[in-house]
Amino acid sequence: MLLTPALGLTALVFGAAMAILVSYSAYTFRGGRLTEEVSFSAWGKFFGDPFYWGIVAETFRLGFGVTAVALLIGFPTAYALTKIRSQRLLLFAYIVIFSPLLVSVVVRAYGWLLLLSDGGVINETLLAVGVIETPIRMIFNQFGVTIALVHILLPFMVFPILSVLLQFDATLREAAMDLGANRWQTFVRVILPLSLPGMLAGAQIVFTLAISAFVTPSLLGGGKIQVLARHIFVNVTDVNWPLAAVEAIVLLAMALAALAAFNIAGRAIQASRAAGAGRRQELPRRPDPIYAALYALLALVLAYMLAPLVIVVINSFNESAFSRFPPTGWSLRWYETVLNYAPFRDGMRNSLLIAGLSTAIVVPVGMMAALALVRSRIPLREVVRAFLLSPLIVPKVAVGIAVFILFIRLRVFGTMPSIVAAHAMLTLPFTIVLLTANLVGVNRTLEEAAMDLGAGPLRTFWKVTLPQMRAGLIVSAVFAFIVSFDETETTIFLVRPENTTLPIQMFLYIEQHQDPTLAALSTVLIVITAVVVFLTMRAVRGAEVARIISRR
Amino acid sequence: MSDAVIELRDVTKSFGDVVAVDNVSLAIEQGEFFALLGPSGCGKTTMLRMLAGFEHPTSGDVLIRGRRMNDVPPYRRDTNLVFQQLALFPHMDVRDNVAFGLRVKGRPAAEVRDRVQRVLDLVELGGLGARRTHEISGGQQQRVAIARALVNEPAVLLLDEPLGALDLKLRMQMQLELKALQRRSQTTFVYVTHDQGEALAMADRIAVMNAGRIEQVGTPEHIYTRPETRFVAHFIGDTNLFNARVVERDPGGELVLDAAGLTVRVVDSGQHAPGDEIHVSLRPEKIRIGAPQDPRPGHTATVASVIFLGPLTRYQVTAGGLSLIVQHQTESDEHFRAGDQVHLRWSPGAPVLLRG
Repeated sequence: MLLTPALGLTALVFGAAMAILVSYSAYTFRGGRLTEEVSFSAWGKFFGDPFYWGIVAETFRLGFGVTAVALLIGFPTAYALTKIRSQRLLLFAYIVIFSPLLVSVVVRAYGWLLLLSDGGVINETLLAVGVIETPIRMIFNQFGVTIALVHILLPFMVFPILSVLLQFDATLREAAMDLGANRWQTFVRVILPLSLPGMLAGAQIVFTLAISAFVTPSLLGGGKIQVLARHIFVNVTDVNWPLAAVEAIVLLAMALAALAAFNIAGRAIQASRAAGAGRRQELPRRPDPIYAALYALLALVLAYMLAPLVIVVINSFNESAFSRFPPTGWSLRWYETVLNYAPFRDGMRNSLLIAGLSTAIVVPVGMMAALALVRSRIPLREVVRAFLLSPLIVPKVAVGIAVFILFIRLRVFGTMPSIVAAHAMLTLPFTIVLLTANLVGVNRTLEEAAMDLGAGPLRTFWKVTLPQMRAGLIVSAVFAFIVSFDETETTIFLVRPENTTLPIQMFLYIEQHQDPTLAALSTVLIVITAVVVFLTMRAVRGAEVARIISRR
Repeated sequence: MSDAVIELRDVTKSFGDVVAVDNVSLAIEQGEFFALLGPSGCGKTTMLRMLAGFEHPTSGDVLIRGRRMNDVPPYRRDTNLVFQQLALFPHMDVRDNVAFGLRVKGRPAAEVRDRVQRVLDLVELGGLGARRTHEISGGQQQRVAIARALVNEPAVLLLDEPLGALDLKLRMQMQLELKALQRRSQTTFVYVTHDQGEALAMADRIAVMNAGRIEQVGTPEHIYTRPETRFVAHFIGDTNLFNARVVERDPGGELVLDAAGLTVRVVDSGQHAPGDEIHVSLRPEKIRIGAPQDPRPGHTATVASVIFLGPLTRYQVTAGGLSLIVQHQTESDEHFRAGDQVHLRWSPGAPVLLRG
């Protein structure tokens, strides 16, 4: 059956891993060693010790803070985007807001380090201008971590809100104004309530990702910010796996609780679709101070999204080995260092191999699953779909430790195939979502014509269906490749020093070094990503991409 | 003249090169049911939107209750619009939808409750206040939209083809209800439609529009019996249109015309002279058809085709060089077939002379 590979992959790697995770939480850690004795001492330790409650509280606080800020910035940004008339400006804005997703978390966190540290760009500028006298402490605290996390998660907030706003019926605004509501009242009473579902969806995603964040709090928190994800990692390295398992399960529970809470809230404000299709007629627009403010905000947000990347690129040419800002001189030697640095070379090779293999697996498997989900009559189709998409909800770190334990038990830990399998499992949901959306748009009459002319099902699929899905397949493949390439938070549990991936090497490097070597490497990666995106868009014709993505 | 609740003075509206409303002047009286009638693209909706405040005239003035409203935004006008697509707020129930305008103005809660209930009773939706807008039928949604506008007691209620989405039976029922509602509430209604039957049935006065201009304003009877232009004659009901030349004025005051060889006598108001070319409109139901040996004055014609329409039968006949449509009661004793010779007659007051 078409679904078997997909189900198999998810069940074997993900399902089994989660099951083992639960079982391990019941083992005991005694005297610095793991025993297989069943007890609930780890659970007891976790819930008994206020230290752990503190960690949970810190994690929650970070989650709420990030979500709130993302919402405050994200809504006006999405709103401003709906007001832009120029297609080119709109495309530019989309690229700036969404493509940082394709750059590794490590690179972006590094960029924020450069910007926010005591000797960083912002502090140096403020000092030079005379606004402050001593550097403001912006890293190693909640402030810096929040700023960096909002940067990383903002696209996930903007996207759902934008989708909802784009479907907004313009006549409703006219109706409100006709009934006596001025601009502000119309906004508060009509536009805002109807945008609520989008805001909730965005908040849901952002919150879940924020509480499971690992790389960013580690790099920008410097150990002072104790979030659950980081603590899981610490416990794993200490071989206190039962406790790590408990923490992972608690993290998962938090994510699920948040999911449920948002779902309930969503249902409570369930709004019916307005009767009749709305006319999207543009009201003639007169110069308006409000629009000016919106555009100004949008410009600021775009600058915010670009800032860390720009700084990283600039710093890669910095002569100073301490990444001193402003740079005293320029140099290309860091690029040389990158080329000669073995761990980076090996990391690149490994990452390319793993990403390549996992993509090669995931695209066909995803295609088959999509076919089954869209075309066949399977019992419990929604349950199957939910199961296949479930890796998306589980915090990456929890997946990491679960799969880690699974691989240890299966004695495949650290092997190349095991990492490829894990990456395949992680990227499969993305390809399924993209390909099912694409498949729905395929013209079935063409397939019927082919079959009428004598082509069997396989031939028809190959010659007729597949070519129509070209755009979707390209986008899924590129997406799966990039996601796998950048994957850090699960992979860090699964690699041995000999086959570490590039992002992990970069992560380790930042924790020890200050020089701009990493900036040089990051710049190379940013450029490569930009080129890949550009080529993909050419291959797929930009409009197609927007069509596919907006269908989600 | 200033009794008029709405006045348009030389109003023109252009969108770039396109002139949607072309130098229109109009006065609508307080308490009227006034219809703007015309085909798609004639500018009627644009005119309505200018009254509501969603468009601003390129030139000319819009006055409501004597005050110039050109730059006044919709939320400060004493008009309310019933939208074509209804535009009911999906995130509110029926009661909240209707109460919206009152709440926005800050009316006290008790007053809001009271007025909302009264208007819901007025449109016969009294018990449905708590329903959500997608839980009620199309006709009920229509009435919610009307209630929402009416509860604010506007000087003028504007309606943009509100019955377009309803099926025929419901539409006809709603027409009667709207008319009754207008009388009960004594509000001025400005009603936009492309359906001439609707306009004739409901309006006190109709403005017939074509390509941005008003062709004629008048009561339904007047517009029907005395159309002034070919467009109006043709758009409202069926008619025979033909050109004729004035031959002479006979001693009795009637005008003698030559229409493609047919001699036609008409009554006019004395403004035409021999030699003039004029357009004539003659309604099919005004032509009497009978056996060829009918002794009364009239014209001979040949039946070209017969169309049976139930209570009516239509004959297409040729008389002289003219092709005419005649409407005949099916239940009469006389019936004719294609090829038959027949006798046509009509009164001199039946043909209408048109301006353009």
